[in-house]
Amino acid sequence: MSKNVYSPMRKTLARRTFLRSAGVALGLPLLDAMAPAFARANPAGAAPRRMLAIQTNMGILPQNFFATQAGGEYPLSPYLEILKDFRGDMTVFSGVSHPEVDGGHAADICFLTAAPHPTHSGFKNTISLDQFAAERLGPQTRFPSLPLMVGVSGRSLSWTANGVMIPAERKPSEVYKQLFVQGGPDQVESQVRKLGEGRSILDTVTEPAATLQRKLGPRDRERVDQYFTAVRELERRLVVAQQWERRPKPQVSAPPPTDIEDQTELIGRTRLMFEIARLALETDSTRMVTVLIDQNHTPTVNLPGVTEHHHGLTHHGNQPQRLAELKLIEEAQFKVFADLLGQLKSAREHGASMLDQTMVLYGTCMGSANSHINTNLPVLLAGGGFKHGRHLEFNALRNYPLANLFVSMLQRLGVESDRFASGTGTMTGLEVV
Amino acid sequence: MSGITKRSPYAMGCLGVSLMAGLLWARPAAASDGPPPSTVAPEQAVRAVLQRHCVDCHGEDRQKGGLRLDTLAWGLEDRKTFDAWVKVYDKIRTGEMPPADRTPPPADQVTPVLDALHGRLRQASLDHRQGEGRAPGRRLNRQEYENTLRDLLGLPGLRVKEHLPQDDKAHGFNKSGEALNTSYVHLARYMQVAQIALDAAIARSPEPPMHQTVRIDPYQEYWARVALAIGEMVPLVGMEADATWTIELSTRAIDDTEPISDAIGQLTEVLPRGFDLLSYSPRVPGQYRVRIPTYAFEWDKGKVLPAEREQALSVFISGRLIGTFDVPPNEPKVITFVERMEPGEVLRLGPATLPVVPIIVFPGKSKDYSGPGVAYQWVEVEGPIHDQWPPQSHRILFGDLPIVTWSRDSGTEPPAAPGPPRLPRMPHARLPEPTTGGQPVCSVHSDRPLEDAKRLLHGFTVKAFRQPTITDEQLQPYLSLVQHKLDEGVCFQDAMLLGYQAVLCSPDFLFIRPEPGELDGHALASRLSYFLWNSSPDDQLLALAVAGRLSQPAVLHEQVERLLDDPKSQRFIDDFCDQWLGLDQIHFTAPDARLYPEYLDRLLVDSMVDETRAFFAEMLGQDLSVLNVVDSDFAMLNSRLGRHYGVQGVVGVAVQRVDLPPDSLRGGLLTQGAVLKVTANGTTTSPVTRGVWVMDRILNQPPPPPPPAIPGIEPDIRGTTTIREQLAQHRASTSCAACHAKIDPAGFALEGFDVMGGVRERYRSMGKGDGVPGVYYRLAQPVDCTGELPDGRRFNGIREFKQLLLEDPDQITRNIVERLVVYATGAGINFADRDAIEQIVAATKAKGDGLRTLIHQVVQSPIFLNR
Repeated sequence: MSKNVYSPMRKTLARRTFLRSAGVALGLPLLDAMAPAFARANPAGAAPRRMLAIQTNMGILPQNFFATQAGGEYPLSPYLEILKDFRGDMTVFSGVSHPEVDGGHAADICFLTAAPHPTHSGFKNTISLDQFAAERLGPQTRFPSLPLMVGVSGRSLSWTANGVMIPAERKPSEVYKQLFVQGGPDQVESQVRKLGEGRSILDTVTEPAATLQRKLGPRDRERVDQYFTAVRELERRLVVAQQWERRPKPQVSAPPPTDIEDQTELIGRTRLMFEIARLALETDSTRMVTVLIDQNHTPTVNLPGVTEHHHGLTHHGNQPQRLAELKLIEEAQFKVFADLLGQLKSAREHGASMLDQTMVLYGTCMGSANSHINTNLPVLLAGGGFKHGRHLEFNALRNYPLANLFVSMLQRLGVESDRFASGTGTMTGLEVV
Repeated sequence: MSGITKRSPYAMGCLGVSLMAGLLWARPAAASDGPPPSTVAPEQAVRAVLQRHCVDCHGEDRQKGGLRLDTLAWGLEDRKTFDAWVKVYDKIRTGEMPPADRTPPPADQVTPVLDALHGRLRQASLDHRQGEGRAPGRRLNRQEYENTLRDLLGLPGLRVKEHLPQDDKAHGFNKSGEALNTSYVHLARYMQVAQIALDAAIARSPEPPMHQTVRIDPYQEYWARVALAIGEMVPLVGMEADATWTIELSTRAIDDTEPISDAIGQLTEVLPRGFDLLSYSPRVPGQYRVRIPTYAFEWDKGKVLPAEREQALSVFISGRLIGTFDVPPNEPKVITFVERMEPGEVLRLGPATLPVVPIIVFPGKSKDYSGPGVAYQWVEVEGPIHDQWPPQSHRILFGDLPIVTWSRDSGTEPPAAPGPPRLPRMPHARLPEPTTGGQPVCSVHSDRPLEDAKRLLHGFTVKAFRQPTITDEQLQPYLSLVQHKLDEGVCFQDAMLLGYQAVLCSPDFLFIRPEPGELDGHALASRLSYFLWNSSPDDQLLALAVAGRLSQPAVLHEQVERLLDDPKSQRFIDDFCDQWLGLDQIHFTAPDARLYPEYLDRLLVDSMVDETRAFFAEMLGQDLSVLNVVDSDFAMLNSRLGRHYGVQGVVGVAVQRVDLPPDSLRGGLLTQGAVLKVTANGTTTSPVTRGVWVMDRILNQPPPPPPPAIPGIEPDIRGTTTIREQLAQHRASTSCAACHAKIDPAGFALEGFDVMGGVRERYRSMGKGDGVPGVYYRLAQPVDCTGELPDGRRFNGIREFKQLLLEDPDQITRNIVERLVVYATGAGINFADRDAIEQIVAATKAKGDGLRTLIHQVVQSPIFLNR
């Protein structure tokens, strides 16, 4: 344990008020996701397994996405045509969804959690796939997970075990700074001290714990226990952050990104976020990335031929002009995704391609945004060392639980779990290489 | 109990499907007429009656609605079993079960069953509370956290909510411990937010920052001059067009021309590329007074003509709407307001009544354009304004201790510099100079640091913890934190700030957790203030709590009046209306601008939200009957809404009370634009969505969700089929019909209103239909606003429908009572609350149904006075 830790018994060197500088204030979003240090060494020569989960939250036009035929020789749909170079590297699904996850738009926060009925009174979300894996895999990387988002809302795909959203980072430049920009020795030491002061605040608020908990009824105790669990969890993360602070950050040749503030530039913003996600994975800064592409409140996307608000277009009413405009946007989104897959495929580590080591999940929470249904979700999985190349078709009326795919992914990550949320086993028909 | 005895041909549905208790629009008038808890509750007697009358449909052979009664367990500690028995109780009591086509059991058999069930259910409901009272402890939600920091620190303009994670809701509001979870993410953010707030609170020099008055001539602004040069704005002098401006695209024209203009005119609401952002930004955060002389004019192809009517100007600070002001024709009027500004924040002026779409896209285009314009002469920013120095926020933390220049001789570390501005810098803002550049570093000095620390921390925690006393034991952790920092050589100011930061992250600050049983004075003060102010109690409430007088009915009444009369009650009005009616979802879907160009009119959409809040405020302020929710003879309108609704004679942008003509379709909440917008579905409306909304939000009878694997209705705007035709197909399925018979009527009644709340007789279409001059859309099939309630009562249009709703006034009142009780206490309504709810409903009714009266009844009720 670091010596710069306040405790009632020991004096410390810490000086400045916690979070007094820009760096730390901005550092907090990632502090939320800070991991224990001292990465567990990989077995010699084995490249780590990783996961990147991406969701666009306003449906994907099903008629342009789904393949019409199951198996390996399926004819490419318009969107899958864009991904044709990766046909052998991906599996596309149909007839999958999260059972009892309904509520139209509200289901986006359940994409990685599969928690039922997000619009019901008293709904409480559950742990997301990335956090579940990160918790069980333990300390490995500087950031155990990296929740990202493109959009303006405060939504995120990553959720803690007690159903609290982990805010997603919206600025690629900030993520870059925290992943790769190394402070000078003074900055490092002052940062370590500041983190220590955060810990001393936590020590202080924990002191009344014993007296507080003594006289509580069961429901109150649960609330208060949750608070103290939160304190201990943050404490653990601050300790880890202090340890990582002294370790050099990886160097990358890519220059710092310039954020695109213009909301109409959906495609450029997505590209930038994918780029930073890829860099985070390639440098082993994290092994779990989530990206929510939140299309709520998006204005008219700046693409030739698109004239209407994005959200409005998804309520297309089957009007041909709007279907055509929406297709333009979604095609551009799939092109950016194809570029990402291409980069992952060409990057090598330990003699294999990054794509083979990285499971890339891409999908959406609505089978049709026009009618707001949450069944028959367009979803695909690329990379990660599965036997790909097929269209796995499940029953369109009685959907197959998508969380079974999550169980397969967890096992691929090395998490020994045979269930996750509504998933009760690995996905039928999806085999590892 | 109107309507309850009417039998519905559709209500024969099984228990499970017709989850909404009672027939449509009616619900058990619950326990007020119910029996007292029965001493004879033999399970066998209940079972015998059920066996005779119910198990045919809910037994071994058939389980309609998935409910089987002969084997339903008797152990009510299990929530599912409990809920099932409540359902059985309600269905029998309202007469919905057994259904109309079965022989009803004789009354002398039913009564003992109901008695037995009521007693048991009530006891079980109390048992569920495990001795903790109705409301489990909870943390503050993020809006409460922000308001509490504002009031505790005396920083009315503080904005930190966005840094905290969003809160979940239970029972419709983010006020319940069931939904307000706490994670390490919260803790990390509380630390950050507390530090931001403390930074904003303290004074960093003994003298106030220099008070400045800056006058901005808009035509001297670089970007405005570009805009003028290419004709996006127009130059004016002495109420005429400034002919000295030659409109060219050369930079010479921009840089070298010395304008004689005395005003600048805008012809559209928004200018592209941020031309309408002013570059001025303050150097120090604080309250600033802004003054803008402005007038409306008429632009006619390069000439200025007298304007015939007023316009409106909205002022934004970094995207935040500060206000919309009337702009008179032809005579300049000075708009004035005071607002907090941070370094990096800039002003933008948007004439709210002018067209949104840029009309001028290439140089000189304004020469060919005619239309209304808004001119402003200059913008003056004065501040920062302080009524005292150091400001109140500083004194709250450091009292009268002196602020002195730090020197090395003090033997302490220098005070930490304040954090940088945390808001994103607007693209055109000039960078403010660093505030401490070249100036001496100052901090609070104490000759007796430990003594002062104890005194200051004690005073702060008494308020922050909302407790009658703070024991030394409670204070000790914070004190030792400060002491340790002092021992380490940290200066007094920074050590104290760390202590305060810990206080603002502590469970005593974050949690509202009264003792079980009757609330003590402080718990009552907190409950009152978090109810009506959405924030912590003030000194007067705490003093009454200390004096032990707050729970006296007369004092309580007086305090409710005081809290409601205070401007802080606007927080309650806004927050309650937003959550109850979903007003925060006003922009969730954006209709196609070609079908609904009205949506682009920001003033209209903003005014719709203002209208609904103002309507609630008017009911509250004037103690008007809560039945106004269904129908009213007045509306809260401004000129824009008046035009939208076709109500003549409303002048100005301020929302004001307007009498409605007797034949108006408006009146009540249902026909307000905001409600009709949030219940729309993007470009289309659905009677199902609106019907569910009315069932839930107005009648408090939320229908069950659709069964799984039933496809929803695909909206279609090609003009070929109407939503009603699609629904008719959907309802042809018997499994859908039972619920939709209850859901759809309200939606049908509202079909006469489009997604923007406009009255329609025909649907707008992008395909088939008749063309309309000046717009993209066509008019397709006619709208049908007729419908029939499940009990057979028919209506044609919203006016008749509202009268049907009013046939059960208690249900309208009960809904509002229950929502306010949930909001005020943070706990859902359960079986054991029914007596108290009915008493509030009855007492409110006896006193004329006023909303203010209703709130008094809630506050004086045992449900509010006990945990």
